[in-house]
Amino acid sequence: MSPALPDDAGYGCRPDWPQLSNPETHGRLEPDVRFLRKVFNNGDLVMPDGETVRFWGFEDETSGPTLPSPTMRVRRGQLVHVVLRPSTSVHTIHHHGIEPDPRNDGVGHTSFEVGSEYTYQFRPSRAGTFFYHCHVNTALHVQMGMYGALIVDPPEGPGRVFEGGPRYDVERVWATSMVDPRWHEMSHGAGLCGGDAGLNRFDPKYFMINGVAHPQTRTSERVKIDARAGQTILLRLVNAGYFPQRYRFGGLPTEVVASDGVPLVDPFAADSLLLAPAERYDCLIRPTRAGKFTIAVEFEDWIYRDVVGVVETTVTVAEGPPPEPGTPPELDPGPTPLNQGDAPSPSASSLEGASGTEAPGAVTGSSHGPAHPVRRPAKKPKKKKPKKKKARKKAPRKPRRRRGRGRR
Amino acid sequence: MLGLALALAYGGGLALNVVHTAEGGHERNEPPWVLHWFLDASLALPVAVMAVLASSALLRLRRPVGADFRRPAAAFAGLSALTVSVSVALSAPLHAAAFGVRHGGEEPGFIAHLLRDAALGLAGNLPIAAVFCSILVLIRPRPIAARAAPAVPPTSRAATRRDFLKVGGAGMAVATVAAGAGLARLAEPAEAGQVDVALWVNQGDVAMIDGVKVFRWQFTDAPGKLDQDGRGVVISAVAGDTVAVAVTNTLDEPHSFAIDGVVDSGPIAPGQTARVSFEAPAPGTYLYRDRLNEPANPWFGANRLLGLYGVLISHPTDGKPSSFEGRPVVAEFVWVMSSICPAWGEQARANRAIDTRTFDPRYFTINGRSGTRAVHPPPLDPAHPHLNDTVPHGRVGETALIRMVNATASTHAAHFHGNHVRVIAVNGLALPHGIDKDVVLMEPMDRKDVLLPFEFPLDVAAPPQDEPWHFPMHCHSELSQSAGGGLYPSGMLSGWVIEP
Repeated sequence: MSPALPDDAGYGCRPDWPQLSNPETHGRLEPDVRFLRKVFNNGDLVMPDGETVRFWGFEDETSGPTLPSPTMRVRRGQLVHVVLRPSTSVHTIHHHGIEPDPRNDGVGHTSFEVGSEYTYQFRPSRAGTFFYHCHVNTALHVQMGMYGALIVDPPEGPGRVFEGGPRYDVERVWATSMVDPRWHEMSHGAGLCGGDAGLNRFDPKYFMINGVAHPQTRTSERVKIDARAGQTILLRLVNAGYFPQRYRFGGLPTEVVASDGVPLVDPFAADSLLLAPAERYDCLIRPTRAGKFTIAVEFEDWIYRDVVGVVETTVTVAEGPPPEPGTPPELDPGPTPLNQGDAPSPSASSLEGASGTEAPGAVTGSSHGPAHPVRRPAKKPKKKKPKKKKARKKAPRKPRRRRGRGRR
Repeated sequence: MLGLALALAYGGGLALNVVHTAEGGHERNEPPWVLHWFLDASLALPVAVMAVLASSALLRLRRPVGADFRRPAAAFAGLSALTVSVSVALSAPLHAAAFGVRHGGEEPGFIAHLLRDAALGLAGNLPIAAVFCSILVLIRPRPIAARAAPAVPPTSRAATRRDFLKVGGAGMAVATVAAGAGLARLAEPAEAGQVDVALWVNQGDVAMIDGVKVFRWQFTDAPGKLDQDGRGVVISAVAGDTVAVAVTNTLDEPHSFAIDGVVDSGPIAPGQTARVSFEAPAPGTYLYRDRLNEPANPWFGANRLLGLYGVLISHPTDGKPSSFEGRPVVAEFVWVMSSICPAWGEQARANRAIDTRTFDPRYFTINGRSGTRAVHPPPLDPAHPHLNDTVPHGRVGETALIRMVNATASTHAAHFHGNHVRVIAVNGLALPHGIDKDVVLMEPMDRKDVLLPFEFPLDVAAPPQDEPWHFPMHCHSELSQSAGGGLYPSGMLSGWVIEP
C-alpha cells in the first residue's frame, strides 16, 4: 500500500456522488401521507445557565423551528412522502431503520445530496420507533439538531406498539441528546474534507430530552410523566447522542418489548438499559402504586465510560380508577419550540449555476444563507462526470450476465 | 445442458458400441455399426437427458454461492458423466432383451457386466464431459457468484475440514468450498483434527489512509511480516479440534497470547517461542490477544490496542451453517474493528511505559481499513472484483454471516442500512431466537455474530431498478466517523451490496 495520500482519501471532501438540485423520485406514487421538511439554521435555545445555543433543524408548514425536529407519525403500510427542501445548502434525510432503495435512503455516497427539493418515498413495513436525520456531515448536522422522531403506528392507529402488541395509555418519545456548544459555532461543511476541524473532540455540556436540558427535564411538561397506577406508560427511547446512554428506571416495573422497530421475541424486565447511539428501545412501565419516581439517563464517555452527564425526569403516579377500555392514549406532546434568531450571513456561493447540467432549478427560499457554501469547485465535477458515466454504464451489464447464467 | 446430454449419449454410446463390436457381440438384424451406434445412442438419449438433469438438480441443491465457477462446472460434468454411464449401463439388459443381443466371447457375470459397461461408458464419457466443462468455463469465465461473499460455511464437516485447517491473513477466502470439488473430500474421515498455527510478534509502521505512518505491533504468520491491510491472522478450527499455536516473540519486550477462559501463554521473553495447545472451544467467535500491560479493566489493555489481537473461529462440529428464515448462510465474513492511536505508537516505538488512561485514537478501522478503503476493499482476486474480505455482495436471499469483533477500546454502534441484521450470538452465547437490529451495540472486546439476510429492502415503495444497490454500514458513535477531526476518511465504515 502506498504511503502517499491516496486519491480517494478525501472521502467526503471530494465526493464522487452527485449533489442534485431537484432529483426525481423514481416510480413516484400517490402518497397516503406527506410531510414537508424545510431546513432552518437559525433556531436559538436558551440553556438553563442562560447561555444561548444555535440549532439547525427541519420544520414543516406550521411547526416553526423546534428541537428535535417535528415528529413524523405514520401507519404501517402507508405510502409516505417526505418532501425535503434544504433551500440554501445541501442536506438529506435518512429515515433511520426504514429500509427503502438507496435513492430514498438519504445517504450521499450511495445516491445524492439534495439542493432544492427531493421527495423521499417509502412504505414502512414495521410498526415501531424510528427516527430521521440529516446524513450530510452527519456528526455535525445531527449535533446541530437535524433529527426528529419517526413513529410507525400499526394500521389501526396509536394505542398499541405493534399489531397484536401490548396496549398503552400514556406515550412518551424521548430523544436523548448531548450538546457541546463549541460544535454549534461550526459551519456546514466543517471537517468534511477530512481536515482536522476538531470533530473528534466532543465535550458535552448540556444533556437533554426532547430539547429540554437537565434539570428542567424534571419539571418540563414535555418530558415528565403524570400517570395513574394501573395505566401502561410506553417509553419510546431514541439515543440521539454519540455516547452510550444508560437508563435507570428508578424502581418502576419496566418491560422492554421492542427495539429498532422490531418486537422482541423474548421481552424482558429491566431495571436499567444501555442504549448505543441511534438505538431505539420501546419500554412499557406499569406502575402498581402511587408515588414519585425518578428516571435517570446517564451519558457515558464512549471510550472510558465515565458518566459525563445525567438527565433526570419525574414520573408521578397517582391512585385512580383503572383506564376505561377504549380511551385513546395520551400521546407524546412533541418537541421544544426554538426562538427564531438572526439568520447567519448569506453565503458566497450556492447551488445555483454551479453546474449547468445538474442544477436547472434556481435556488429559492429563505434569505438565510447556508452556514457554509455548497462545495462545488468549478473544475472537479466536470472531471468526475465521465468517470461516473463509465461506472453507470458498467452496472447494467452485470445483471444481464448473471441472469443468463441463472437460467442455465 | 442438452448439449452435454447429447455429447454423453453419443460419445459414451460410441465407446460401448466399439467395445462390444470388438468383442464380437451381435444383435438380430444388426444394422451397420455406424447406424447402430447412432440408433442406440438415440435410444440412450432420454436416459442421458434425465441423468444430466438429475445431476444438475443434485448440484443445484448443494450449489454454494461465492464459489469459483470452474469447480461446479467440473463437478457437473463429472457427475453427469457418471450418472449417464450408470443409467445407460443399467438400461443395457433391457436393450439386450429387446433386441436379442448375443454377447461375443464369454459372457461375464450379470453384475460384473453392468459394472464393466458402466466403467466403459464412464471412460468414454469423462473426457467428453471434461471437454464440455472446459468449454463451459471458457464461455462463462465469471464465477457463479462472484458478487457473493467469499466464504462458505460447511455443508458437511468432512467437506470443509481441510479448508478450516488453513489460516492466513487472506481470511475467510480460504474457507471457500465448492460442492463439486468437495465430492472427493466427502470420503475423508471425520476425525478430530489438529490445527497448527505459527504466529510471530512483529512491529513496524503501518500506513494510514491519510499517509501517516503509525507504529504498530502485530501477530502475523511469518517472521518480519507486517500486515499493511487486513485484519491479521484468523485461526479457524472445528470445536474440539486441538489447536497448537507456536508464538515467537521477535521484539525486545515480553508479549503473550491469550484467549479468555481458553488459553494463556503467559509472558513470552524476547526471542523466545511459546507453544500452547488447547481444545477449540464451543462454536463461536473468539478474540485472542496479548494480555500484558492490561489494567484491571481489560478493555484498555495497551498491548492489544497497539495491535496485538486476532480472531479464532470455532466452527460447529455438525458443519451446519446458520440460517435465516430457513435460508442457509452462503457466505461468511469476519469484521475486526480496531482503533489506532498514533501517540501510543510513538511511545511503544520509544519503549516508554503507556498510561492506559490516555488512549486517543485517530483512526477506526474494519479489517485494517478506514473510510473509502473500508467501503471499497481490494478484491481478493482481480478477476472477481466483487470478492473481497469485508463487503458482502450478493443476491436477494443469499444470507451472509458476519462475525463482528471489537478490538478497540471504544463503544461502537454498528448501523446497517437497507436490512436489519439478526444477532444470533453474543460473546459466545447463542441467542435462540435472535434479535433483529439496525444498530448493534459493540462494547470493547465484544464478539457478535449477525446474519445479514439479503432481504429485498422491506420498505421500498417503487419497483426496483436494475442495478446493484449499495447500502452503507457505519458506526453511529459519530466520533468514530469524525475521527482525526473530520468526517469519514478515518472513520469506521463498511457496506453491503444487493442485486435486487
